[in-house]
Amino acid sequence: MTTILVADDSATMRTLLELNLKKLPGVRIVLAKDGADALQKFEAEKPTLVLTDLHMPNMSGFEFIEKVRTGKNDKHTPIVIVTTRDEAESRQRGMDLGASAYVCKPINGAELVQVVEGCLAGITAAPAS
Amino acid sequence: MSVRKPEEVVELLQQASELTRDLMTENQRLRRRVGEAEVESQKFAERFAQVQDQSELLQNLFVVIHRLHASLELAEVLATLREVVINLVGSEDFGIWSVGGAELSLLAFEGNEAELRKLPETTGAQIRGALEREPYFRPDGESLGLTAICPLKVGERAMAVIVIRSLLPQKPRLSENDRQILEVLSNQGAVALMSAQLYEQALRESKSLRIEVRA
Repeated sequence: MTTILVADDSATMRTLLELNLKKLPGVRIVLAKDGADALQKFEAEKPTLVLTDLHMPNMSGFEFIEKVRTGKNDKHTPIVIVTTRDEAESRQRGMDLGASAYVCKPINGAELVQVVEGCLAGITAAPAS
Repeated sequence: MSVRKPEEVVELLQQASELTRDLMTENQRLRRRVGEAEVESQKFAERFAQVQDQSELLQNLFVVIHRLHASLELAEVLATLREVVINLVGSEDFGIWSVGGAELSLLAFEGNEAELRKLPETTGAQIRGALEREPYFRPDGESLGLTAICPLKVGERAMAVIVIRSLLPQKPRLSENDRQILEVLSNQGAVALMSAQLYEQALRESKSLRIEVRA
Protein backbone atom coordinates (compact mmCIF):
# COMPACT_ATOMS: atom_id res chain seq x y z
CA MET A 1 0.00 0.00 0.00
CA THR A 2 1.33 3.42 -0.98
CA THR A 3 0.79 6.13 1.63
CA ILE A 4 0.76 9.74 0.47
CA LEU A 5 0.93 12.55 3.01
CA VAL A 6 -0.75 15.77 1.87
CA ALA A 7 0.09 18.97 3.77
CA ASP A 8 -1.93 22.11 3.00
CA ASP A 9 -3.59 24.65 5.28
CA SER A 10 -6.49 25.03 2.84
CA ALA A 11 -9.26 22.47 3.43
CA THR A 12 -10.43 23.07 -0.15
CA MET A 13 -7.00 22.20 -1.49
CA ARG A 14 -6.72 19.09 0.72
CA THR A 15 -10.07 17.84 -0.63
CA LEU A 16 -9.03 18.54 -4.21
CA LEU A 17 -5.63 16.86 -3.86
CA GLU A 18 -7.18 13.87 -2.12
CA LEU A 19 -9.73 13.42 -4.93
CA ASN A 20 -6.99 13.55 -7.55
CA LEU A 21 -4.64 11.18 -5.74
CA LYS A 22 -7.41 8.64 -5.15
CA LYS A 23 -7.31 8.01 -8.90
CA LEU A 24 -4.06 6.11 -8.33
CA PRO A 25 -4.60 2.46 -7.42
CA GLY A 26 -3.69 1.20 -3.96
CA VAL A 27 -3.11 4.61 -2.45
CA ARG A 28 -3.89 5.69 1.12
CA ILE A 29 -4.03 9.43 1.79
CA VAL A 30 -3.07 11.06 5.07
CA LEU A 31 -3.99 14.75 5.46
CA ALA A 32 -2.12 17.39 7.45
CA LYS A 33 -3.26 20.98 8.02
CA ASP A 34 0.17 22.61 8.42
CA GLY A 35 3.89 21.87 8.53
CA ALA A 36 3.95 20.87 12.20
CA ASP A 37 1.03 18.48 11.73
CA ALA A 38 2.75 17.10 8.62
CA LEU A 39 5.99 16.45 10.52
CA GLN A 40 4.12 14.60 13.24
CA LYS A 41 2.24 12.49 10.68
CA PHE A 42 5.44 11.91 8.70
CA GLU A 43 6.95 10.21 11.75
CA ALA A 44 3.81 8.24 12.59
CA GLU A 45 2.78 7.15 9.10
CA LYS A 46 6.13 6.77 7.29
CA PRO A 47 4.60 7.88 3.98
CA THR A 48 5.85 6.71 0.58
CA LEU A 49 5.53 10.24 -0.83
CA VAL A 50 4.70 13.72 0.46
CA LEU A 51 2.86 16.64 -1.17
CA THR A 52 3.34 19.92 0.62
CA ASP A 53 2.26 23.52 0.28
CA LEU A 54 4.87 26.19 1.14
CA HIS A 55 2.88 28.93 2.84
CA MET A 56 1.36 27.31 5.95
CA PRO A 57 0.85 28.43 9.57
CA ASN A 58 2.93 27.01 12.45
CA MET A 59 5.58 25.56 10.13
CA SER A 60 6.18 26.46 6.49
CA GLY A 61 6.69 23.90 3.75
CA PHE A 62 10.40 24.83 3.48
CA GLU A 63 10.88 24.27 7.22
CA PHE A 64 9.04 20.95 6.99
CA ILE A 65 11.27 19.72 4.14
CA GLU A 66 14.38 20.83 5.99
CA LYS A 67 13.31 18.98 9.13
CA VAL A 68 12.57 15.82 7.15
CA ARG A 69 15.81 15.89 5.16
CA THR A 70 18.21 16.95 7.93
CA GLY A 71 16.39 16.46 11.25
CA LYS A 72 14.96 13.05 10.34
CA ASN A 73 17.84 12.28 7.98
CA ASP A 74 15.37 11.05 5.36
CA LYS A 75 16.94 11.68 1.97
CA HIS A 76 14.78 9.32 -0.07
CA THR A 77 11.05 9.95 0.47
CA PRO A 78 9.96 12.03 -2.55
CA ILE A 79 8.56 15.43 -1.58
CA VAL A 80 6.47 17.32 -4.14
CA ILE A 81 5.91 21.04 -3.51
CA VAL A 82 2.45 22.31 -4.56
CA THR A 83 2.32 26.09 -4.28
CA THR A 84 1.03 29.37 -5.70
CA ARG A 85 4.62 30.75 -5.77
CA ASP A 86 6.19 30.47 -9.20
CA GLU A 87 9.38 32.44 -8.47
CA ALA A 88 12.71 30.91 -9.57
CA GLU A 89 14.15 31.68 -6.12
CA SER A 90 11.46 29.70 -4.32
CA ARG A 91 11.77 26.83 -6.79
CA GLN A 92 15.55 26.76 -6.31
CA ARG A 93 15.27 26.85 -2.52
CA GLY A 94 12.82 23.94 -2.57
CA MET A 95 15.07 21.86 -4.80
CA ASP A 96 18.17 22.74 -2.73
CA LEU A 97 16.38 21.56 0.40
CA GLY A 98 15.68 18.23 -1.30
CA ALA A 99 12.27 18.46 -2.94
CA SER A 100 11.71 16.07 -5.84
CA ALA A 101 9.28 18.16 -7.89
CA TYR A 102 7.64 21.59 -7.91
CA VAL A 103 4.05 22.06 -9.09
CA CYS A 104 2.37 25.46 -9.33
CA LYS A 105 -1.25 26.16 -8.41
CA PRO A 106 -3.84 26.22 -9.80
CA ILE A 107 -3.13 22.54 -10.37
CA ASN A 108 -4.12 20.41 -13.32
CA GLY A 109 -5.26 17.12 -11.78
CA ALA A 110 -4.00 14.91 -14.62
CA GLU A 111 -0.57 16.59 -14.62
CA LEU A 112 -0.26 16.32 -10.85
CA VAL A 113 -1.07 12.60 -10.99
CA GLN A 114 1.61 12.20 -13.68
CA VAL A 115 4.20 13.94 -11.48
CA VAL A 116 3.28 11.73 -8.52
CA GLU A 117 3.40 8.59 -10.69
CA GLY A 118 6.82 9.66 -11.95
CA CYS A 119 8.12 10.09 -8.40
CA LEU A 120 6.68 6.74 -7.32
CA ALA A 121 8.21 5.04 -10.39
CA GLY A 122 11.55 6.58 -9.37
CA ILE A 123 11.30 4.84 -5.99
CA THR A 124 10.57 1.49 -7.63
CA ALA A 125 13.37 1.88 -10.17
CA ALA A 126 15.99 2.96 -7.62
CA PRO A 127 18.31 0.16 -6.46
CA ALA A 128 17.80 -0.96 -2.86
CA SER A 129 20.38 0.65 -0.60
CA MET B 1 18.01 -26.84 -67.25
CA SER B 2 14.65 -26.37 -69.01
CA VAL B 3 14.06 -23.38 -71.24
CA ARG B 4 10.59 -21.82 -71.10
CA LYS B 5 8.75 -21.09 -74.25
CA PRO B 6 8.30 -17.40 -75.14
CA GLU B 7 4.48 -17.66 -74.70
CA GLU B 8 4.98 -19.01 -71.17
CA VAL B 9 7.35 -16.14 -70.33
CA VAL B 10 4.84 -13.59 -71.66
CA GLU B 11 2.08 -15.22 -69.63
CA LEU B 12 4.24 -15.16 -66.48
CA LEU B 13 5.08 -11.50 -67.05
CA GLN B 14 1.39 -10.71 -67.50
CA GLN B 15 0.58 -12.53 -64.24
CA ALA B 16 3.37 -10.64 -62.46
CA SER B 17 2.11 -7.37 -63.88
CA GLU B 18 -1.47 -8.12 -62.69
CA LEU B 19 -0.16 -9.11 -59.27
CA THR B 20 1.86 -5.88 -59.04
CA ARG B 21 -1.20 -3.85 -60.05
CA ASP B 22 -3.32 -5.64 -57.42
CA LEU B 23 -0.65 -5.05 -54.80
CA MET B 24 -0.40 -1.37 -55.71
CA THR B 25 -4.19 -1.01 -55.47
CA GLU B 26 -4.15 -2.78 -52.08
CA ASN B 27 -1.24 -0.59 -51.00
CA GLN B 28 -3.19 2.56 -51.94
CA ARG B 29 -6.25 1.25 -50.11
CA LEU B 30 -4.17 0.55 -46.99
CA ARG B 31 -2.52 3.99 -47.18
CA ARG B 32 -5.97 5.58 -47.32
CA ARG B 33 -7.05 3.45 -44.34
CA VAL B 34 -3.93 4.46 -42.37
CA GLY B 35 -4.69 8.11 -43.17
CA GLU B 36 -8.30 7.66 -42.00
CA ALA B 37 -7.11 5.87 -38.85
CA GLU B 38 -4.70 8.73 -38.12
CA VAL B 39 -7.50 11.28 -38.47
CA GLU B 40 -9.73 9.11 -36.26
CA SER B 41 -6.96 8.74 -33.68
CA GLN B 42 -6.44 12.52 -33.68
CA LYS B 43 -10.19 13.01 -33.14
CA PHE B 44 -10.15 10.51 -30.27
CA ALA B 45 -7.15 12.29 -28.71
CA GLU B 46 -8.96 15.63 -28.95
CA ARG B 47 -12.15 14.09 -27.54
CA PHE B 48 -10.17 12.49 -24.71
CA ALA B 49 -8.59 15.86 -23.87
CA GLN B 50 -12.06 17.47 -23.85
CA VAL B 51 -13.48 14.72 -21.61
CA GLN B 52 -10.48 15.04 -19.27
CA ASP B 53 -10.97 18.82 -19.15
CA GLN B 54 -14.69 18.42 -18.42
CA SER B 55 -13.95 15.82 -15.76
CA GLU B 56 -11.43 18.18 -14.14
CA LEU B 57 -14.00 21.00 -14.18
CA LEU B 58 -16.74 18.81 -12.68
CA GLN B 59 -14.37 17.62 -9.99
CA ASN B 60 -13.39 21.21 -9.14
CA LEU B 61 -17.04 22.30 -9.08
CA PHE B 62 -17.87 19.37 -6.80
CA VAL B 63 -15.10 20.43 -4.40
CA VAL B 64 -16.28 24.07 -4.47
CA ILE B 65 -19.92 23.19 -3.75
CA HIS B 66 -18.99 20.54 -1.17
CA ARG B 67 -16.73 22.96 0.72
CA LEU B 68 -19.14 25.93 0.52
CA HIS B 69 -21.92 23.91 2.14
CA ALA B 70 -19.70 22.04 4.61
CA SER B 71 -20.22 24.61 7.34
CA LEU B 72 -22.74 27.12 8.66
CA GLU B 73 -20.03 29.25 10.26
CA LEU B 74 -19.66 32.57 8.44
CA ALA B 75 -15.89 32.60 8.98
CA GLU B 76 -15.56 29.16 7.38
CA VAL B 77 -17.70 30.08 4.38
CA LEU B 78 -15.53 33.16 3.85
CA ALA B 79 -12.39 31.04 4.25
CA THR B 80 -13.68 28.66 1.57
CA LEU B 81 -14.44 31.55 -0.80
CA ARG B 82 -10.86 32.82 -0.28
CA GLU B 83 -9.34 29.38 -0.78
CA VAL B 84 -11.28 28.79 -3.99
CA VAL B 85 -10.17 32.10 -5.51
CA ILE B 86 -6.53 31.56 -4.46
CA ASN B 87 -6.12 27.87 -5.27
CA LEU B 88 -8.61 27.11 -8.02
CA VAL B 89 -8.99 30.39 -9.88
CA GLY B 90 -5.40 31.49 -9.21
CA SER B 91 -5.33 34.96 -7.65
CA GLU B 92 -3.66 36.48 -4.60
CA ASP B 93 -4.97 39.97 -5.26
CA PHE B 94 -8.68 40.17 -4.54
CA GLY B 95 -11.29 41.22 -2.00
CA ILE B 96 -14.71 40.02 -0.90
CA TRP B 97 -17.14 42.79 0.10
CA SER B 98 -20.52 42.46 1.73
CA VAL B 99 -23.26 44.46 0.04
CA GLY B 100 -25.61 46.39 2.30
CA GLY B 101 -27.62 49.10 0.59
CA ALA B 102 -25.16 51.60 -0.89
CA GLU B 103 -22.33 50.43 1.35
CA LEU B 104 -19.63 47.92 0.48
CA SER B 105 -17.63 46.60 3.43
CA LEU B 106 -14.57 44.43 3.11
CA LEU B 107 -15.15 40.96 4.58
CA ALA B 108 -12.03 39.13 3.43
CA PHE B 109 -9.11 39.75 1.12
CA GLU B 110 -5.76 38.52 -0.15
CA GLY B 111 -3.06 40.98 -1.18
CA ASN B 112 -2.49 44.64 -0.38
CA GLU B 113 -5.26 45.63 2.06
CA ALA B 114 -4.82 49.40 1.67
CA GLU B 115 -5.11 49.24 -2.12
CA LEU B 116 -8.03 46.84 -1.98
CA ARG B 117 -9.91 49.08 0.47
CA LYS B 118 -9.72 51.90 -2.08
CA LEU B 119 -11.37 49.82 -4.82
CA PRO B 120 -15.01 50.78 -4.07
CA GLU B 121 -13.98 54.46 -4.41
CA THR B 122 -12.00 54.05 -7.62
CA THR B 123 -14.04 51.39 -9.41
CA GLY B 124 -17.35 51.66 -7.56
CA ALA B 125 -19.41 52.32 -10.69
CA GLN B 126 -18.01 49.21 -12.41
CA ILE B 127 -18.67 47.08 -9.31
CA ARG B 128 -22.23 48.46 -8.98
CA GLY B 129 -22.79 47.74 -12.68
CA ALA B 130 -21.79 44.09 -12.22
CA LEU B 131 -23.97 43.85 -9.09
CA GLU B 132 -27.00 45.01 -11.06
CA ARG B 133 -26.33 42.88 -14.09
CA GLU B 134 -24.03 39.81 -14.21
CA PRO B 135 -20.42 38.82 -13.48
CA TYR B 136 -17.81 40.85 -15.32
CA PHE B 137 -14.76 39.19 -16.88
CA ARG B 138 -12.04 41.31 -18.46
CA PRO B 139 -12.04 40.60 -22.22
CA ASP B 140 -9.08 38.62 -23.59
CA GLY B 141 -6.37 40.88 -24.93
CA GLU B 142 -7.05 43.70 -22.46
CA SER B 143 -4.42 44.10 -19.77
CA LEU B 144 -5.74 47.07 -17.81
CA GLY B 145 -8.51 47.24 -15.23
CA LEU B 146 -10.07 44.66 -12.96
CA THR B 147 -9.80 40.99 -13.92
CA ALA B 148 -13.23 39.93 -12.69
CA ILE B 149 -16.21 41.10 -10.65
CA CYS B 150 -18.33 38.29 -9.35
CA PRO B 151 -21.55 39.27 -7.52
CA LEU B 152 -22.82 36.70 -5.01
CA LYS B 153 -26.57 36.80 -5.48
CA VAL B 154 -29.57 34.84 -4.21
CA GLY B 155 -32.17 35.56 -6.84
CA GLU B 156 -31.97 39.33 -7.31
CA ARG B 157 -30.57 40.01 -3.85
CA ALA B 158 -26.83 40.72 -3.86
CA MET B 159 -25.19 39.37 -0.70
CA ALA B 160 -21.56 40.11 -1.52
CA VAL B 161 -19.15 40.71 -4.35
CA ILE B 162 -15.74 39.22 -5.17
CA VAL B 163 -13.47 41.63 -7.03
CA ILE B 164 -10.30 40.15 -8.54
CA ARG B 165 -7.66 42.74 -9.38
CA SER B 166 -5.08 40.42 -10.91
CA LEU B 167 -4.13 36.76 -11.33
CA LEU B 168 -1.02 34.86 -10.26
CA PRO B 169 2.02 35.60 -12.49
CA GLN B 170 1.93 32.08 -13.96
CA LYS B 171 -1.71 32.54 -14.98
CA PRO B 172 -2.06 34.67 -18.11
CA ARG B 173 -5.86 34.90 -18.19
CA LEU B 174 -9.09 33.44 -16.89
CA SER B 175 -10.02 30.24 -18.70
CA GLU B 176 -13.56 29.14 -19.53
CA ASN B 177 -13.35 26.72 -16.58
CA ASP B 178 -12.34 29.58 -14.22
CA ARG B 179 -15.38 31.54 -15.35
CA GLN B 180 -17.59 28.55 -14.60
CA ILE B 181 -16.08 28.24 -11.12
CA LEU B 182 -16.73 31.96 -10.52
CA GLU B 183 -20.30 31.56 -11.77
CA VAL B 184 -20.84 28.71 -9.31
CA LEU B 185 -19.38 30.91 -6.56
CA SER B 186 -21.79 33.61 -7.68
CA ASN B 187 -24.86 31.54 -6.79
CA GLN B 188 -23.71 28.76 -4.42
CA GLY B 189 -21.41 31.15 -2.55
CA ALA B 190 -24.34 33.50 -2.02
CA VAL B 191 -26.57 30.68 -0.74
CA ALA B 192 -23.81 29.53 1.64
CA LEU B 193 -23.30 33.10 2.90
CA MET B 194 -27.03 33.61 3.40
CA SER B 195 -27.37 30.29 5.26
CA ALA B 196 -24.45 31.22 7.53
CA GLN B 197 -25.90 34.67 8.24
CA LEU B 198 -29.36 33.22 8.98
CA TYR B 199 -27.79 30.56 11.22
CA GLU B 200 -25.89 33.22 13.17
CA GLN B 201 -29.04 35.30 13.45
CA ALA B 202 -31.01 32.27 14.70
CA LEU B 203 -28.30 31.54 17.27
CA ARG B 204 -28.38 35.14 18.51
CA GLU B 205 -32.18 35.15 18.76
CA SER B 206 -32.22 31.80 20.50
CA LYS B 207 -29.67 33.06 23.00
CA SER B 208 -31.62 36.25 23.76
CA LEU B 209 -34.88 34.25 24.09
CA ARG B 210 -33.21 31.91 26.57
CA ILE B 211 -32.03 34.91 28.59
CA GLU B 212 -35.54 36.39 28.53
CA VAL B 213 -37.13 33.07 29.62
CA ARG B 214 -34.64 32.74 32.51
CA ALA B 215 -35.35 36.31 33.58
